[in-house]
Amino acid sequence: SKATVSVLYCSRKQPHLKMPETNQWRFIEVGRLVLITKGKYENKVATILDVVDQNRVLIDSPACKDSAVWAGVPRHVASLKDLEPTPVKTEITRGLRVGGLVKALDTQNTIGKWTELTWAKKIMHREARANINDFDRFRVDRARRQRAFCLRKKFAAKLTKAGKDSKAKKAFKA
Amino acid sequence: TLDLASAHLRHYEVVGRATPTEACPAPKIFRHHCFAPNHVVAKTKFWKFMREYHKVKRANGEVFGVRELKEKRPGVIKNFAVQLRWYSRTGPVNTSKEIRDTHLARGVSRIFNELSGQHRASFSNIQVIRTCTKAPKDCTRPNVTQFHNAKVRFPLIHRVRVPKKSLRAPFTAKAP
Repeated sequence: SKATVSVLYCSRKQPHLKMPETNQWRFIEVGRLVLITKGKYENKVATILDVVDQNRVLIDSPACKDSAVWAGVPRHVASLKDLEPTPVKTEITRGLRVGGLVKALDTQNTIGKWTELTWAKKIMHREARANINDFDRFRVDRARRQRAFCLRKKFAAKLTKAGKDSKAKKAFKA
Repeated sequence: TLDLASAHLRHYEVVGRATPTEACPAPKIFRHHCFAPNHVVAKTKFWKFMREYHKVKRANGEVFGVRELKEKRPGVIKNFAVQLRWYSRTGPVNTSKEIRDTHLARGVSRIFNELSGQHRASFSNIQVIRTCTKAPKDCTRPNVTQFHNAKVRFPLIHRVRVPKKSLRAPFTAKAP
């Protein structure tokens, strides 16, 4: 089903753009992959197994061998306030137990679909950066400075021009 | 446990009887299960029950044990029907409520919160008469039956994002 509200908003603000066709709500439903945003299992993904009521869902994330993201969130009821629905969905029956769930996640490659998303990559990079050791911190700093140096060297002319233009603009305004 | 962290009431079972006397050497043993924040209050509830219905005071009785009752199937969502008697400002009211939850203790805690919010009935003014698990076809309340759909789905519309405590600020650049 189309997301009527946001599509209308889009058309009002930017009428020259086409209606986005793949704009869909991410539904809270059985099989939806959610990211846990708060609490002990922050930044871990889990699958919705059943819906308790308007604010709570039963989620589970069985520990899978290779992934750091799939790290064993126990089966429990979580509040939707602490969850973020993702675009990834698995076809499962309601209240599936661990064995069946692991099988379904494997065959439908849910892990793969999640880790492909830019969102997942950003989280992984953020966590990698946060868990850096001192030597790597030094290397990152060096690399950023080298990058900045190369960019400035390449665009020296444009940067000087931009700087002069902005000064001219300020002078004109004043 | 992870689940009962949000439940302020727990499910207890208290077993006790009147102390034996010459007149009655083998008094009846009672098992009373109740919802209380801790085992101390559970025993209080037990003695209140014994006093009001069985004419046994705490001074004349003995408790054999208090045990917390754990949920048998914590991974399964159940529909609980709770029959209550609560005291409003004008008198007692009998109510039956249905709630959907994994743990009975948490379901009952939520019902107590609901009664306190909607009817200003506090813990001491509520008596849980009986609780049972109902099959989906036997449930009548729409707040519970609306989730009895294998393909239930809904979007999260108008999500209000609350920032983390460490990121909260008294003044922000944008209106919320």
